[in-house]
Amino acid sequence: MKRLFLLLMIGVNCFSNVFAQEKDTLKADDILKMSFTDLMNTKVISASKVQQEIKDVSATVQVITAEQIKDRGYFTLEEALGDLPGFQFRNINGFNSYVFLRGAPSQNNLILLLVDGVQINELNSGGFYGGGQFNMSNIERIEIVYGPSSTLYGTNAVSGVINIITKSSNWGKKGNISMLAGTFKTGMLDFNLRNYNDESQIAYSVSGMYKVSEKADLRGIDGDNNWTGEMENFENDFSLSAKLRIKNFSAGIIFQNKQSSMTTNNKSIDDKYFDRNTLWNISFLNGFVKYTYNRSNRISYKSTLYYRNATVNPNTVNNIIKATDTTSGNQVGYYRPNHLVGLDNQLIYNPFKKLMIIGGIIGEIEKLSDGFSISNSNSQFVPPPAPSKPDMLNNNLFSYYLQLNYKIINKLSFVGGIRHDFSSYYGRVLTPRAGLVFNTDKFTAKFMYNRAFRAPKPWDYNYGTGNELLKPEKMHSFELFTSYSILKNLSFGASLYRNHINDKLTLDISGSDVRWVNENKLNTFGLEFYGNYSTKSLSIYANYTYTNSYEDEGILIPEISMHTANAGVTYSFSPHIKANLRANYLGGRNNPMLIPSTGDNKIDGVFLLHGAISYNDFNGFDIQLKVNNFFNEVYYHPSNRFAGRYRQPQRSIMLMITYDLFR
Amino acid sequence: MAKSSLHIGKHIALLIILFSGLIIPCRGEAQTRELLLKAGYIEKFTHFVDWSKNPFSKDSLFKVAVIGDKKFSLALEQIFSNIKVNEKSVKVTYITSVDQIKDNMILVISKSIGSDKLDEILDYTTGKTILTISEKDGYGVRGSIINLVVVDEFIRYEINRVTLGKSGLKMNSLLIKSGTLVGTK
Repeated sequence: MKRLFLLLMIGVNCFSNVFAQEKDTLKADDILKMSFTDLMNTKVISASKVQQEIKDVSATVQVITAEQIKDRGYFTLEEALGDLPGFQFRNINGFNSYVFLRGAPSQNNLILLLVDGVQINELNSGGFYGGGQFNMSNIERIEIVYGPSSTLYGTNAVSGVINIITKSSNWGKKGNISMLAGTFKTGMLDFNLRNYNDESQIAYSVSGMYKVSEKADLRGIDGDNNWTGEMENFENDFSLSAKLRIKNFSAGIIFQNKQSSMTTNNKSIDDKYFDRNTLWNISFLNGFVKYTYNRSNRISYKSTLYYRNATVNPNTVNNIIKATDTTSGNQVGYYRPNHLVGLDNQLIYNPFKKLMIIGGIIGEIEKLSDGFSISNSNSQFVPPPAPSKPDMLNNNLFSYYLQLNYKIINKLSFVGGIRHDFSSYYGRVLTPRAGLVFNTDKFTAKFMYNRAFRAPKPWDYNYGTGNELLKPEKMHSFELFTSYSILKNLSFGASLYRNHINDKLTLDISGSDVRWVNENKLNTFGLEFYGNYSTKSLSIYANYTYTNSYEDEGILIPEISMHTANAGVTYSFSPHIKANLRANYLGGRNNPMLIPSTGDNKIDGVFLLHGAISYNDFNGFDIQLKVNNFFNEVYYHPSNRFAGRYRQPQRSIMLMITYDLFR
Repeated sequence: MAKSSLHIGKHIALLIILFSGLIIPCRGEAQTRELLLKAGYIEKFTHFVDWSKNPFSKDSLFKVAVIGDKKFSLALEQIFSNIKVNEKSVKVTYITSVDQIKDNMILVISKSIGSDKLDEILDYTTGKTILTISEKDGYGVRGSIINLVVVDEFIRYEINRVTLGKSGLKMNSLLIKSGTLVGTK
């Protein structure tokens, strides 16, 4: 391996003066299509983990813009992802919600979630939290990289990577304040302020959000008789973030707190659990300091020091056991602190225009709880004492990666790379990738082979009776992506892929003992097809996804539907009035367990319609009325928690008013 | 849990070797992307500037000259190849001396032009209806009407209101608002 690297480097240096200048993939035509604002927002270097034009990235990429978030009134991250190809969900309407990309169900630990480039997956389980804690008004764009990306990002980047880029100002003062009220006791207040001072080259942004919602009516029969008529279900989310940029230095901090009832985690009818007075209280604190250096646009260097903290706070009441004739019941308290410090050094070097080399070294030290520290009260009605601090485990990670983008001919590039991770937990993992990217002005084709892995975390090692022998589950993926722009404003694209996960972490149930084991396999064959059309006043999108996920024996993977489709249209009736209509079709799928209310494991397909109408710029105010589940469809998501299914929200109506502070 | 012994030292050594190869500085051609973006800006500027007082404004071609770096003229040629300004085709010329400026509506002064040469160029252009566009820190204050600068990887521009006032060019207030005003009045 060492020899290979050395040869590569020698090769790079020897050839650097031989090749003539090649054009950047950004074409004059691309620039001429840009507005003045677009130009002002375009960087002079293609520097993400590596910033590149989407068509040049060796992966399928979808982007949700701030304008789309605003026009469609997306309230949660899942709502935004739900209109894209490839996504399916297990929404438990509770302390978490689960996002499946490309046919792989998980506890959100097969997708990596980043905010401004920093991972925010929960540290102990490796899964990110869905739900309401993201301040949608402060998002500039969401980039979704489909398929494995472990070569750049390491563990958890298996089904894909979601990168949320928050707003910042590149020019002058900007900011707004919003207020939202809706059905199911939904309410929200948010603000963001941002400024860039050209003379001092200082930019800053501050944003905050408080959001409450009961999400749906799940009482009694409305909740498929999983919970009583007195059940309690709430989620309160708080978010505060700030960013500062001074010349080459930037720093950011984001604090999120989610307080939610745990009612929907367990069934209360015909079960021992009480469905009120629980509290899941988890806080996330993520921060970074980054130094960026560019030399002659040939070399750029980026060093990022980051801190991550995901703590289940000690006042958490995970569940309450009901009193019986012979017992007084009890409340169960949970506490789980975790934190991590890491340093990521990345160098991008363009020795000549045909070649871009990206290299990086990462070191991380994390302190993770051995498991939940648990405390019990002696009565259903008495809160538990604060749990003691659990034993902490130290984990060290050292990784390096190298990726080469080499332009074979003007329109054809080769991308190859490897990443090597060395963990004190899960040992060493080598992750290679290779791909070809073909680009003309109108046509793009990408053929990719990627590998990825998901390392077990303490949550996996210690779950149930525990299993110290767990090893990372690994994915191999082949993908062909093509897109074609028929007209300047009309484009189509398709991805055809085959994924194979071996050593899949599977729950092994033996009597009352449970533990995770590396046992099963998961194969997925999928097709995603999309089209976009836009004019000045009209934009239309449509996509269809075929997903065939199965085990080796040909048994279909539960929770995954074979057919999903989404479509939407946004029309500007005037400079002030905009309307949006969105439709989602989710085909039938299997529940992991028999559903008591139906006697089988089938979950029916559903067609949903959502809409929003906005009046913008009325003396600085934007007003939006939004309806989700317009036809009030009764539909369900699967449950891997108990024998049952999860009723999804009924029709909901929200009114949002936004004021532009610097109009 | 599987514990592995980390041979981190070896790998760090390997990466130091690797990176020492990467950071050998190389003579570089100016980045095409940056020049193309700057050329894109110049195309946008033409929508916001009025050259009607220029004595050559009735010519059949809209002429743009570049002095300093020939690659800038190549970038401009790409941008303007199918674009008309005031319904005229655009001719981009690479020039090497001040006396070649004459009938051009825009003069692009590349960053390779030193300050002595800049003074010579500005002595010629100041007071004439020629839009001078430079791309080097400080050149806006020195007298170029527009100076393109890279700020935190984004292109921004300065406008020297004194030189603009002397030129007789009319500039749309939208363009002025989006730039940084430099020079004293």
